Amino acid sequence: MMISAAIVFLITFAGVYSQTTLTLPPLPYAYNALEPVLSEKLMHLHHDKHFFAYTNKTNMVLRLLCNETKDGDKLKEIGNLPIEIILTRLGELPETYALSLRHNGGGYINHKLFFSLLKAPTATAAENKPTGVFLEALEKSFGSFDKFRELFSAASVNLFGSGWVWLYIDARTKTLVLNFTANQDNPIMFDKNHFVIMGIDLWEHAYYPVYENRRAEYVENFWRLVNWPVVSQRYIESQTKRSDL
Amino acid sequence: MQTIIKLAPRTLVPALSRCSKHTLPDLPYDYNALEPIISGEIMKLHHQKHHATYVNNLNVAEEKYNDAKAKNDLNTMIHLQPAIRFNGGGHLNHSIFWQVLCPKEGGNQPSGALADQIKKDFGSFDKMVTQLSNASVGVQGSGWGWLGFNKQEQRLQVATCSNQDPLQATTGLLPIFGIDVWEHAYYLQYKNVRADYVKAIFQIANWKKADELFQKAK
Repeated sequence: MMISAAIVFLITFAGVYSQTTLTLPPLPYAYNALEPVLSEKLMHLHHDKHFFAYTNKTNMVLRLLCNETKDGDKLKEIGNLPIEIILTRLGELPETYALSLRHNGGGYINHKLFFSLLKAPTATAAENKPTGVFLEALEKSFGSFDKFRELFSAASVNLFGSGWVWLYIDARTKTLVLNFTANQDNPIMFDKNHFVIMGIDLWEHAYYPVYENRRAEYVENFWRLVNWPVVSQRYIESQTKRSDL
Repeated sequence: MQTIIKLAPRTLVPALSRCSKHTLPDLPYDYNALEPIISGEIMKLHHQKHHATYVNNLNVAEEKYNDAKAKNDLNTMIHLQPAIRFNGGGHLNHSIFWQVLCPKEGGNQPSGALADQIKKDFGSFDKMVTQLSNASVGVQGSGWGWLGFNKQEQRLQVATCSNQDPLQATTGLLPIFGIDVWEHAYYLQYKNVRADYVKAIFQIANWKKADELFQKAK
């Protein structure tokens, strides 16, 4: 009994470390936990369909990459790295792999992060604020929390097409920066040392079932969902120079 | 990735312009005429909200552009160009889209000159449909799939554009038939299964109109 359990444990452990199979993380809350801001139906679609599809497709591509015999073992080696590392090395991959991983792998890490940053909504946006070291950092970079929120919201409302708005620590300046990416791009694809603190999904699927075309309303209500302790923790980690993403 | 240098809060609430140049065209059919392929709910939102917003925002951007031009304010003119491209493209694209769709007809295929050209350039109608479908489903993020006419080379081609980039301005091809693959075009009905929507849309393709566009393009 003990031996078989140990074997199962080792297989699972080894599986995690080989990183060729991404798992779909469950939501850290019930599907209806974000009501009324994001409906249960929307969360099911977003997690069980979209995030699920990105996970599967990334795994399919990684499987191919790990069996790729072109270039000796180089591509296989890259394929066996954690997805967060692979996405910083897309330039080393043949175009078809790079494009597919950029889209699907990007979709995977973006949604993994996004769902982890949300929590049951407060009654109003105004009452949901960060505190401590992270709040100080926001005030230092943007003047005030309200100003940060205003800029982030404006960027979100004005983004054309599908994409994300991000708050991240810039690799070079080491300061908090606001920026956007198109489609499923993530800041780490542009510099592996960008450290993402938070982001908002602005693809229509992220809000359409509840808000239809009213993206501004979605963005306004998003602030009721932000899990500031989790976001603050990411900021603190970035300052201790840990590289877990 | 582009850096946001400065962001003043802007809203996309359309302002009423005294000299509106662009207007929202009526649909050539009722909102529910394309059922069951595209629901009345989607058609209403798509036309009255999305297309209308493009029209309104285009008018606002153009008015600002004209003001800036009158003052020789080149910086502002350049700053407004993405908004004109996006909203103008959205207006152009959707205006064509409503025309090239029509209520479902049995045995829906092109005939005449367009049919011949499709056969010539793709081998068969089905091969063109496959190519256009694959391209449309494969668009990453938001965009459009198009059957376009290359006037220089006198042949039809499948192309895709991202966001609201209009086909002609972006590629030089003249639009013959197009498929909106922004999520808003299908989400309420098809959810994330874009492939089902793209497959189904050929049942409501207005090949008569496409043929008209083709004749004009030649």
